Amino acid sequence: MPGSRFPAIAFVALILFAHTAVASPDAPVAIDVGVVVASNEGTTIDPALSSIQNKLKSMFNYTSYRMVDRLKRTLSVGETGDFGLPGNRSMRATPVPAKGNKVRLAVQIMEGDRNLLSTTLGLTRGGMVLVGGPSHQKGVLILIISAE
Amino acid sequence: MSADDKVRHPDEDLVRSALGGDEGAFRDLLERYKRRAYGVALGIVGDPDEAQDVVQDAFVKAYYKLSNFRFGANFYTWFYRILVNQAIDRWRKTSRSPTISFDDAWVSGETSEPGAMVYPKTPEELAGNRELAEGLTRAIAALPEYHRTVILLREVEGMAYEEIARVLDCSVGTVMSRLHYARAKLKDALKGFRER
Amino acid sequence: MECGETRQMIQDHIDGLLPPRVSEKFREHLGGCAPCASEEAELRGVGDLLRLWSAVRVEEREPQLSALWARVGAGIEERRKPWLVPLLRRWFWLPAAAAVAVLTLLFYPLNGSMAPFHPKSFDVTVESLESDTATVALVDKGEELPRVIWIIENGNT
Repeated sequence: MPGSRFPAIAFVALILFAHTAVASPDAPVAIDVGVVVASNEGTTIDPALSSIQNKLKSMFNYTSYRMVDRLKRTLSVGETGDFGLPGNRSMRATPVPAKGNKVRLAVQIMEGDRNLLSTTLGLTRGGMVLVGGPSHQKGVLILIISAE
Repeated sequence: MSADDKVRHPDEDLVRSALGGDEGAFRDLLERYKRRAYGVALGIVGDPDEAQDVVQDAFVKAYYKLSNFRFGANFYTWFYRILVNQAIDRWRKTSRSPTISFDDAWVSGETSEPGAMVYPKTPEELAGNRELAEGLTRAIAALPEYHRTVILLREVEGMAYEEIARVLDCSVGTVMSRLHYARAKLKDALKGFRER
Repeated sequence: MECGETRQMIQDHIDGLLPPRVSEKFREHLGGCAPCASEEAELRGVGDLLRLWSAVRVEEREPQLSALWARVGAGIEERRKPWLVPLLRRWFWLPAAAAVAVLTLLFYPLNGSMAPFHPKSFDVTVESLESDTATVALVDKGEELPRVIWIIENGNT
């Protein structure tokens, strides 16, 4: 029966286009954090960094980029998420109210009780920012933070 | 089921028999691992009834996936992958409360001088200290789910990093990072406890 | 070995990861430093406490766990029922299900932790930036590259 194919086609179309819809300003924010140790020990580049490895090489002088953790949380506006980082460090992120297709995040990076960084960032959904510098093992930590 | 049973009837032999239609062999595997599986599931989902459902569902799933088990691999690592995935899925679906902060999870106790931390030594001592037992339950629940899973598999199950990495399908580096974070957070959450 | 260095190694020591010579120096330091020894004991104690906790909680559930096989057996039987057959007879759902599976795998890779990054934009506004204990710098190398917030810890360059 030809008519009965419509639900299947409509369902497929919904899946195709759902991810391109503009999110409402209060929609939850999916935060993705790649925890990378950059160093000059070897020449490993984690496969997950393949699409941005040229950009990393343009920005930094390290020869090795090893991803030691990948953390994902979906948070509502006002909800704080805790992300554990190596070396007794942690990151706290809270989506704060934003307009349109933007995301605003209040981010804090702590080492024990010490506040290493407090910042408020505004990104478009799907945007990316890097936070780095704390030493770890024989290199430095670089956090690859994106929000959807 | 004793350690002797495990030597006499290794897991692989029981899997082979179960695949041959011997349901009793699958039951032996269940009896062998059910308590440990419940302990891990409870640590992840937090609720005893939910944990029991998770264990039941994991064993049913394992029964129907038994033909996927690769001989030579560790049965309990293979089974725990099914169990942990079930537990984490269940926790994500049923966890309605907002993220418990570590401030709420801290065990209250008498203030005391630094360097005088005393933990209970036996299950009976811990069972007798309701405040500490409940505080520890809250502190475990406050950990992110994968960090909670790693510390349970390492400290309670005694699994090696490589085994945990296989269960969670991540790198050994990620396992260690999460373990260290979880241990530090739980240690901080237990500050202030003193043996009364 | 200084306290700062020792504290960084405590968890590696608990997990048996320190090389023998380093482990020896670590233990020597613990022998003469009460605060570091206390920190090590507390961290090590977390594992002991978790094992006790698990033993207690499992014991509480012993009556229900004794009957687990009955429930699992019922679950196995339930799945054996041929409820799938009438559904599979509606064959025209299969092409749609296959299409959804392919599209899902395209957009959502099975292993999230390994999925590559695909940033859509590097347009980031830094509304505020501060630190109590380090120097922070904002590095901008052009529109085609991500903005970087760099933390320079005290004593480092």
